[in-house]
Amino acid sequence: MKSLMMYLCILCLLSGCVETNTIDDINIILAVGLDQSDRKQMMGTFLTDNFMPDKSITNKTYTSKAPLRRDLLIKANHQAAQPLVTGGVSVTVIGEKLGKQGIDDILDIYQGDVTIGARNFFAISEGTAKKILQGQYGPEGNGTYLYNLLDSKIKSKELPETNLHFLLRDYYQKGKDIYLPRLKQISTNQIEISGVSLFKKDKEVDVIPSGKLFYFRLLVDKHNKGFFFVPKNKKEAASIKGLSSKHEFILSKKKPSEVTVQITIKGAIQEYTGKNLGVKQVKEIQKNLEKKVEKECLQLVKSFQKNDTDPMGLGAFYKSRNRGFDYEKWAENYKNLNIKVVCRVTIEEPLII
Amino acid sequence: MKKGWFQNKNGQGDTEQKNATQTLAKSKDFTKTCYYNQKTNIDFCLTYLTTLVDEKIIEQSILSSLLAGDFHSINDIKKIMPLYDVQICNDPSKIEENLCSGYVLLTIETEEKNYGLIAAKKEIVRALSPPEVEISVVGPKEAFVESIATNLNLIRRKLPVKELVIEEFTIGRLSKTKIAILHIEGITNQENINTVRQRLKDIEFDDISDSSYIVQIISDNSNSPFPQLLDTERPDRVAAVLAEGMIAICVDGSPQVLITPTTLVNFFSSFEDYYLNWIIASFFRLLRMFAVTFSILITPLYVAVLTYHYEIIPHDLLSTLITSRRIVPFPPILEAITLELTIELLREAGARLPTKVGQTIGIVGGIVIGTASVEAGLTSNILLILVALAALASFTTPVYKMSNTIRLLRFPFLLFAQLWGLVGIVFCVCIVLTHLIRLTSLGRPFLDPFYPPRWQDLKDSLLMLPFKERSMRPQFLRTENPYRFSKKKASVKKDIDE
Repeated sequence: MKSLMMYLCILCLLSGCVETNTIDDINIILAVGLDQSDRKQMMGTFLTDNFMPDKSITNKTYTSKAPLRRDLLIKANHQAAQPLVTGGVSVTVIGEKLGKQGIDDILDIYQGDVTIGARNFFAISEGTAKKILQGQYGPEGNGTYLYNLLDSKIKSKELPETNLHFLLRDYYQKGKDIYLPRLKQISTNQIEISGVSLFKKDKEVDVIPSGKLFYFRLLVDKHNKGFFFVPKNKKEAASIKGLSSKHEFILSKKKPSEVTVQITIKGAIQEYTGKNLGVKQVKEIQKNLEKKVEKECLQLVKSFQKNDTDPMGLGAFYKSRNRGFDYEKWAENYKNLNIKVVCRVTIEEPLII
Repeated sequence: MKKGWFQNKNGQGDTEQKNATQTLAKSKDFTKTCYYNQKTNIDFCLTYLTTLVDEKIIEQSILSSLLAGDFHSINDIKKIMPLYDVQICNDPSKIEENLCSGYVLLTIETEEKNYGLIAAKKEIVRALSPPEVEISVVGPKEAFVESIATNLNLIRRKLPVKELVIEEFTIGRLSKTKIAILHIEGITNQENINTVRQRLKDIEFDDISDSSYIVQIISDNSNSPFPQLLDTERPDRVAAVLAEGMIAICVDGSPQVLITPTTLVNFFSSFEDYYLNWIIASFFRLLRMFAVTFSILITPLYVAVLTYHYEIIPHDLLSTLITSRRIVPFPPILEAITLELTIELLREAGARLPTKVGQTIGIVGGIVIGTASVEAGLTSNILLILVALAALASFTTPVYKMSNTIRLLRFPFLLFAQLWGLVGIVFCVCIVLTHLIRLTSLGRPFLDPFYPPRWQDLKDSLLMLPFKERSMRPQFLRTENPYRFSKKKASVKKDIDE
């Protein structure tokens, strides 16, 4: 009994050292913007929400400059009345300049901070990240707005799946390169997703505009949905809703330098401007779509090869099929790889609403 | 009185006995009256305690037959007395005991050794009333009363078989409380009965006023906040558990009958469950388990999350939580403890006050204090909702004693939530779980059927499967006959023309 009392006393008296983070005594950072300010220094923008008594939300940003990423937060903390904490970060926006210089160091701090969740979204900004965070987008606060913007587009399969978890997985996997969505500020209270940035290692090398995102997703993502427009001839056109799609890499056994990307799409015709929609017309639409997808995707693949980036993870695929795979050799040969795209479209019942 | 207050020469050497009798004679209600039967020329005396006997019986049955009857010696009284409990005794040590329990002592001048004891108890029995604690909409509406005779009658009527055995004895040095152990021969494990009998006989206590005394005395672990014996006021429940192979203990003067051995899930099953369809009953049971978990954990979780783990709050909830706590000057733990204590105060005040005042207290407390403290900025309204919900959820436990335990359990959880956050809560859950695993009721595992895992007992625990699935008696009872009925025969549904 005596020892029990002693343990209880120890428990109660010596446990005061745990640091508390009462939610109304901290400033929860919801979004982080990182920019290159000059050659040596970085600029960090930290967005927090101020919750007003009338339940409205106002945005507040803290900006600081420092050569090291950790120092950014410490310096920004000097401006804040209550400590800035990183546990709520859900969106990280990286400035265009910094993206071109390399984001390796940034990923490193995100890996080290245990309070940041793996569902944190990353994006590249057109212009500076600071500008994007300082806009006024919606009544729910900028942080939540940006998060919902990216989250809803990923859930509706309009953007390929990206978050800290996938990003780190792709980044550290040999034979695969990363890609991040791009944010573009239209005006101070409007923002849009303007495309996807392709990376070679940690540096941005190419941009895919939002118009080609659908074809990009066919190549990198496993499941896909979306509408696409198929002109049949001058007068007639059809809109097809993609129900599901998948891609497969097929390795030619005879020629190791040849790989086929086989894309399978299941779709339904949503709208058709012609008069009759019979079996013949459906077949025609199907063929047109196949041709279109093949053409667009091949273009994308060629541009990947030109920029020497591999967002599809072909290197990783090759490695899984070949014993004694040599990355250096692969990197040399990647540009000369013969990649074919084959598309197969199945149109389920036409005109289902 | 030339020969002492009763004719007993044998007791002369026994001084203690004499003192005792003198003590009895000191009481105001001690009466000794002498009469004379003219027919047979006999002097006789009646001694009794006026507070205990029914004067009508003395007047109408005893005196009338003694004065007018053919009465020569003590042995004649059995012939002439129209009463069922008439004893002829020659053992003087029994006299006081019987006098104290409402007997009339008959002595005759001429006969010194023998005397008569005639029962003339004044029975004050409350009429049967519907159950007040374990209320049910469906099912029988009778509840036990304070008289053990009535209670045993209620149970016997539900189980009119010769196998139902009622053992009776008295405990309590002063209260002389009558206790009955009930079991069904051929079903109940003999070892369990022996344990109960042994524990009851070993009770050394002067005044046993209620069955709850016995619960506390004979529990396996009296230092546990969890009740290990179930008390019920429903005869149907007692009959049902006797048929399952449990043991019931009736205590005179207590409208609650004890059931043992029990498991934790028994405390969360209302007996009304058995009167409902198994799907609905299962739903209610799951709901109750959820309510209990919710009631214990919700305020500690609030404290832990708001003090340590802001990371796990979803973004959409963040603004609601922060705005509600904006003007609250206290840390979450103080806020939570204040509110919890307020609710406890309300409950306690409501329970102690007369019924009519008690109701107003609930309204005053709930509405006025709650709203006022939120408006004054002393507590956040979210916590107010949570605490009120937790209080509501704790009322869903069908057994009153268990709901008290749940009330209490919340406070250590709160303390540890403040000390270590979620880790503290996990720590507390571990302690409670370890305690429950170690706990036994009459030597049988209290956490059955989860630990040890028993598939058969699971069928009537969190879920309640249909009747034909429940063909076995609970395994943890180790009954002598594990089958309630043949499952094969029961599943055949014959039409009338077959």
